[in-house]
Amino acid sequence: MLKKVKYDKSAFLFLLPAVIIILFIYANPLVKIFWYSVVNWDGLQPTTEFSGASNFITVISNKYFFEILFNNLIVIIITIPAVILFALFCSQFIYLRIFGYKIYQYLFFLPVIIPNVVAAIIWTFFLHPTGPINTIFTKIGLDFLVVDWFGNPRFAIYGLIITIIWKEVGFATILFLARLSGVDPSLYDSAKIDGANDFQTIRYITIPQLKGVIRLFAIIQMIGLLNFLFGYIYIMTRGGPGYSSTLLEYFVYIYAFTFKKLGPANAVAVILFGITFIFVLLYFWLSRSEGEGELN
Amino acid sequence: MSEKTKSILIKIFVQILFVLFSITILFAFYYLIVNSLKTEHEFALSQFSLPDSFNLENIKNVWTRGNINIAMKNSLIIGVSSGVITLLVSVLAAYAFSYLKFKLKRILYFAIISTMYFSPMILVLPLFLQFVEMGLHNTYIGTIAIFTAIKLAFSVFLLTTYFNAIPIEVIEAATIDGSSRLGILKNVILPLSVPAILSLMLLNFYTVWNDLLIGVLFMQKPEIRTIMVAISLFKSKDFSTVTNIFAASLIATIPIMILYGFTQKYFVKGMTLGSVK
Repeated sequence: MLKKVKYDKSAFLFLLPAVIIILFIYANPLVKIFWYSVVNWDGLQPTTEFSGASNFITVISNKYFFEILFNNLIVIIITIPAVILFALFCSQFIYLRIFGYKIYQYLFFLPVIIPNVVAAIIWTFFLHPTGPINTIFTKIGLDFLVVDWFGNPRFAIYGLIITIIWKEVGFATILFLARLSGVDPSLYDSAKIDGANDFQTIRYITIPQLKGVIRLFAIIQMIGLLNFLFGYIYIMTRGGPGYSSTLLEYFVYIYAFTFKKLGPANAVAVILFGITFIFVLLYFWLSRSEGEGELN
Repeated sequence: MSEKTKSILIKIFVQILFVLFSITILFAFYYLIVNSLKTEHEFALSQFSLPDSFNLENIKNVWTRGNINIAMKNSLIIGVSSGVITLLVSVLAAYAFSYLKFKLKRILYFAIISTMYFSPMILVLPLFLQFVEMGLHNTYIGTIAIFTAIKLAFSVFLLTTYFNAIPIEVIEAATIDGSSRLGILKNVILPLSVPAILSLMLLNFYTVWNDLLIGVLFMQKPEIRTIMVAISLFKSKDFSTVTNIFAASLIATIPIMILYGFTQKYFVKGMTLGSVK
């Protein structure tokens, strides 16, 4: 027989403030970007004149659109493996108490705490044509490595990527380290007895043991790289030179506040929302199979 | 090559890697500090050297002419008030998600949680228009509302996860004693959740301090400018010199580093919980 579940009417009251805030600041503009992306804009306010897919066509036929999508792809396929690989090294050897591990553990997390804007400023100067990195390369005779990172459209996006990797590694390291401390230490002992070296240990023990957390981190990072880089780009490159370091997120800003074309700007926002939404669903689905984020 | 030499070589390789990474981190701080104490001329001569004298001109200049003091006050006001409101709202919501039965619970929970993954950039255009219309643009209240919403998802997530870990027996014992719902929340659940609340307050404050986008768009008058916006302006302003930018960045970083120094554990715990940022 079906058991009737007793629902709690007062739950409504407990949730009311949260729901009102989310409706006002998230749901309401979200509905509007979909609406604004399919109407004509005349002056400051949207009209009620339905324009079909014309804003989307404007965006997609913009000759830089695919360059911008490709930039997003580059940022994702370089940053994520680099951060994960380096963080695996860091967490593994800190876990194995390599000489100086306590200092490393403390130091590596510091970039995570530095505000994005400040990290972006520091790295803008580090990578400047006469900045420390190019100066060092010149001094040690590696002149061919001297690059005008943010003046050259081929390198600007890599300047951005270097900064992000530098800032994110510490976070991934702490995350992996937390998970490593839950791994059965006897696995490492027996690997040692079997004569495995440290690289082999990472390959055959750490990575399989951390598979779940690495996967979740990769998706979270993907979402983050699509959605939260405004501060870096605004400070370091403003999307330039040209559009060489513009990402979708920043493209919304350029369309809206540089071109003052709000129809296409909202169309880009819808595209960004759509892509992110897919990854968020994927993340929820995977974290459920990892047994995280479950409700009572 | 024997396994032993191989193992030693790996250790040396890793040490080199770690030392190089450490150097970039230490040098970033060194660079920020020494160059904010230099004159423009000294900076042009060498970016590596220590300053000739202990020159506080840059700091004074950005503090008064650059109005960093006002920007810090603004970020503090917005950070603390939105932090308190977020806490109150998310405690109530998390209580419902952890202890009450109601329809559409899962959907509502995931709808709220998912907001933390989307860029505010997606929302700011309609919000901007609406805020101008409602007179909320360039006001503390409007901006506090935005930050409250931005931080709500993470706060509800953190607290719900934490509340779920409190043994149900503790709650049941209090219920039998005849305590009311709010009584249980106030006297039983919240005292047990102090670490989570601390993490949440810290990270939420950090979000506001760190923000550039909302500040750039919603706090456009000089007297209500937020800290990161104030710093970003030094990169384009005529009156500022390169060394001023370092001084402004240093001033904005120090409070966060001090806060982190005292509360490291809560910072890290909050950030890594559930592998969500």
